[in-house]
Amino acid sequence: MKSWEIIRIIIFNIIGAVLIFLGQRLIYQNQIIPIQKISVDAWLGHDYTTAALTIFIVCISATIVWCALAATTRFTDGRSTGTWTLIWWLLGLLPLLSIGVTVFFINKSEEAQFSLMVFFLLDALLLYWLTTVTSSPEAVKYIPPGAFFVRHKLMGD
Amino acid sequence: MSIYVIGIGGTGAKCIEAIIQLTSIGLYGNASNPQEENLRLLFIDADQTNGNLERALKSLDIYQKCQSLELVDKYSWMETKIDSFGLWSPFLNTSANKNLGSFFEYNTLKDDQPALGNLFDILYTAEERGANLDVGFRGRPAIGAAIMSQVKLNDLDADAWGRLIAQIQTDIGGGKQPKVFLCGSIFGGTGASGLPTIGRLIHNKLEREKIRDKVDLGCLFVLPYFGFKPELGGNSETVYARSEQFLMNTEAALRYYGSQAQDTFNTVYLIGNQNLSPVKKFSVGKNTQRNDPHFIELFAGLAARQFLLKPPSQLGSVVLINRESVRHLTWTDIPDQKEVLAELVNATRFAFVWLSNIAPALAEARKNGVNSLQKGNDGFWFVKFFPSRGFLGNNHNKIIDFNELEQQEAIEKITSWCQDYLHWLEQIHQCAGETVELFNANYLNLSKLNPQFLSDLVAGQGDSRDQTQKSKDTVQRLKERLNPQAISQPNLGVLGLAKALYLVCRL
Repeated sequence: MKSWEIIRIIIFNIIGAVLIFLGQRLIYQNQIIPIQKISVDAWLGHDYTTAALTIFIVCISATIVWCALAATTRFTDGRSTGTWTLIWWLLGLLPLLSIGVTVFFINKSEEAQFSLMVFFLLDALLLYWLTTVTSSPEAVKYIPPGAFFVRHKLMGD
Repeated sequence: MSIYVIGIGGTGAKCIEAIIQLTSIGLYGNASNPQEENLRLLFIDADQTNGNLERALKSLDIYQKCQSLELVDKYSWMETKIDSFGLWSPFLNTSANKNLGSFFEYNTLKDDQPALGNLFDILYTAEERGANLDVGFRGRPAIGAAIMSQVKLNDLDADAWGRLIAQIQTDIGGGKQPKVFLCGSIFGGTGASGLPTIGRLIHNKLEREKIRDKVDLGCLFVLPYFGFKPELGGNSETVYARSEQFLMNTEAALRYYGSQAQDTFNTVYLIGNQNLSPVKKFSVGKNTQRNDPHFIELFAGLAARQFLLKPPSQLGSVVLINRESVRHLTWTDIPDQKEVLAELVNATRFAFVWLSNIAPALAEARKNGVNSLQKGNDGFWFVKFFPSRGFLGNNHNKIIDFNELEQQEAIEKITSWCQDYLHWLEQIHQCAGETVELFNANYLNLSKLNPQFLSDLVAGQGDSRDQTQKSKDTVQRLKERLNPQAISQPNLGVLGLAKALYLVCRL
């Protein structure tokens, strides 16, 4: 992998971490999205932190597995495109599943379910989709959906 | 400097085929002064449809088409331009029967000068007098020598000969020192009879024109290196080449050269082989006389290279070469090993990667559209040379349409050259009774090219890399290193791709 691809991954993860552990947390803390049936501080201290950590780790793990697989595989030609598209989607299922688990099992607040789902979905898009779209290793850089548009047409890479 | 190569007979054509292949990979080029040398070819054969000649002409056509793409970059690959004066046959202006009797007007001779006619009867049998010579001189130097000795270069001003001599004169007028190199077998029919004779005719012609001292004249005598058992089947031919006579033919031709033509050439090269490789299919002549390329022809090409680029300084030099082990050829046996190895390996790796990986991907893009290629595993290198229009406008200097006719034709020309070159290279490894260890020939078979074998292409001492370095030598890594910025203009499209690939294939 090229150094600037790794740097981009790190930057996106730092942004993701700031959004999850600071930005979204502040939105709940300041009751911009109201949670009134249970104590916000207790919910943030336990449910939200556990759920956010789960989402963050799963997304990072999926991204790392994707990049590691692509960087270590000996490609020969374009015939493996289908396989790699499938791998990306299968890895992409992990963040989606983790959203389901965190929102419906770890989170105990019904009021927060919808907003959490939206936030975590956006987090997953940032941490997995956008990271792989912009920073995948050379051989698979246009495999993630939308990667050709973003990386080539927008970024000129 | 201008260079003229004259191939005489089937072996001469095969030597020229090797010279074309070596020229294509840049071994006749001059990287420090590109475009300086033009190679000009003349084929001489009485058998105008000879299979060996046809193959050489086909290789020439493939090379000329590919060379015209102007792929020259850092190395001399595809640099040297080759022009051809075409084919000259002693029967070119003969409309009558192409046999010895008709050529010497045997019937008239018998009537008008019976003594000469009777001498003719003693020298040539009735079968030899009547044998149709449009298949060549049938391995009989006695027939060829009689025909060739009648050639008068002064009378051939309108022919290829005239154009060749005129061109030499023009070159000399322009202050150049032309080099003329003749090559052919000295054991068959056309070569054995034509090589010393044609050499002497050129020498005399240049003497008459008072320009002999301004021209370097070299010659390659190919000594016997293949043999065959005639299988005529239902054919009633009685006059044909016999390999058991090759040594006798050679001895006679060399004796003629020694006694009559020693002052003809500045430098003479002699190349032969103890082991006569069996010819797969015997043929009297015509397009079925198509013998596979042999490693001896590689040496013929390298001899021509030495004469043209760094000839021996001593006048009348005779250059001989031998190998370390009989029936075994390795890189250590190759003259100018460092330069030759570098160019052969570079070109072979390029042709291998192009045919095994790049060309199939481009064919897929042609068939299924570029979108499928761009968004797949091959997209990353493809878009470097065929960038799409950016979302916010054209963010690249030039957009190349992959489907343009020009691009598709370039792919076809490069692919044809790769196939022709790799096929020739594979064939020179297949000489029966010989172990040729330059490349791993199994990996060069056009029908079984597998990109995974890239790191093991070069055999023996040709590849000094350790296993760790070899394991990193993959087609994928090469494609990742492709960089349009590292090459000269045009650096996009198929030409840019080919130039960039050639650059990264260098070891």
